Amino acid sequence: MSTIVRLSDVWFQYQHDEQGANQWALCQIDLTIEKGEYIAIIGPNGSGKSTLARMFNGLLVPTKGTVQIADYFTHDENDLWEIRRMVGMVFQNPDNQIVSTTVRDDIAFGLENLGIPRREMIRRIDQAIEVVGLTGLEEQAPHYLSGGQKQRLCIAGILVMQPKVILFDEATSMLDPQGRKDVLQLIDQLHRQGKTVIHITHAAEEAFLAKRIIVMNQGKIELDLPRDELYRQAECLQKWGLEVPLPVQLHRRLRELGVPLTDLIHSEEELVSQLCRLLSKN
Amino acid sequence: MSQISIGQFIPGRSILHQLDPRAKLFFVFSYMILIFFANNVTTYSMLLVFTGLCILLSQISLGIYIKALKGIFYLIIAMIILHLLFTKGGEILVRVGFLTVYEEGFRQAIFISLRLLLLVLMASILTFTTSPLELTDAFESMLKPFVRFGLPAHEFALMMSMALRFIPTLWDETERIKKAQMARGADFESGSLFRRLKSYVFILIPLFISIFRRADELAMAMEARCYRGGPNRTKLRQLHYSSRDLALPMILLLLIIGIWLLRK
Repeated sequence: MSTIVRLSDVWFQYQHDEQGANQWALCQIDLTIEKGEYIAIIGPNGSGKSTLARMFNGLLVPTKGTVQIADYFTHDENDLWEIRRMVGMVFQNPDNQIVSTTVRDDIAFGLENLGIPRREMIRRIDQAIEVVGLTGLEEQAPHYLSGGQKQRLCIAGILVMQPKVILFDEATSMLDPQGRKDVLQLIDQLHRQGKTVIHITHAAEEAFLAKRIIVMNQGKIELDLPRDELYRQAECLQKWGLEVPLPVQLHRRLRELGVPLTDLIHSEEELVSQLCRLLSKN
Repeated sequence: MSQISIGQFIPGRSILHQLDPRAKLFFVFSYMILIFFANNVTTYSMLLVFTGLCILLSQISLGIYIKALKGIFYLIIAMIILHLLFTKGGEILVRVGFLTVYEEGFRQAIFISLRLLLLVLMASILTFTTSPLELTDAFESMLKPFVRFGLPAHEFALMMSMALRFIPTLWDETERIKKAQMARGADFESGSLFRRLKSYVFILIPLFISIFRRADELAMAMEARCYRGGPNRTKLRQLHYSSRDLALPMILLLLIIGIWLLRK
């Protein structure tokens, strides 16, 4: 595997807050991400996770330290556009990302910016529409789409640019349960197709769908663990005001009641199978 | 929203719908100038007949055109009254008390209202048969020659299409804010006109704040999708002239010659 994102000793400070002049939004972030990883970044409000997200595609440039994407650096103006092509970003509010008056035109927006020839554009758009499941809605106005469909449209707009890394900045937080499920499924599908996925969220439940989880608090990386390892010690998420996923809570309470479950469980499925085994024994 | 019929697009498959938007835009623009050169019964009736023919070709029901004309109905009435009362010249037609209607006043009243009618009808034909997207594309490509003089043609077109994109979104937002304020006891329905207007401030302020926030996010999302202005961009939508579109300049030429010969 090769490294695609490398942040070395990144510090960041917003220029405009004068009172908190020594308030760092990000401090001393060292992070490497390999190609094809599925990472979740969680943290409470104001923990710097969205700021960190904007580092990855050069929307913000570190005050100190460097962000390297493949062979490019975000502080180099000449590299910026290549970086933004490689690192696609889906934002929180789908309404504020859609530029054009039809689905097809909006997906084309990024390609038009890149100067892709029209024939190639059409091919890629048709492909992306199929991947995100919006077939038949090509000429529809975005206003008539549901929240989940709008967010999938935004994802299609990113996909056509053929990025290596896709960032989701709380992309599910404004959606209804069905829309959220569809988008999460799509994220998983993209990961399996080999895209590097970074999912920023404040829902621990969603974070546990990833393979590696980074917990942020007050601009620092508090934890950086594979999913299974964090699952075992998920209780510690409470320390940062994050919710503990339901299966973990259930596991703890059942053990407190004396139900003979193993010390450690790695996943929801494992808990379910243990419970089933117990039930069938009785 | 449904009351607005000026500037609305009515999808269809008529010959007018299928013409190239640039050709249509150019034609309508020139036609509107031409209307101001008509100055007698023959020229006006020629233009009226032609406009009627276009309405027929658009395959859009007359009711929709009449709805569009409703917007200027009072303006036309006001013009007629003003001209009847105040334009002097020619023989006296009617004299009632201190009011005198002259021949010239009568003539002007008819012609000016006809002129307005023709202008609005032609503009309606254009917007009814051309989708806003096509219109923006036409604008952009027609402004292109002026880019070298510093005219931001692409930016204009993008602004127009984004405005179109956000009209329904902001309309919903306005309704939402209105309901939220009503839930807190704001009153938009009763009181004097001034009072009602004043209460709309409580919609406008939150609406503006939200618009600025949206604009900010949208700009960031566009930048994240590599938007960096007009040069080097390619376009998904392409306009193609067909041989049919040649008919428009030819008709225009005939009309110009007609007006030139027939006007006094």
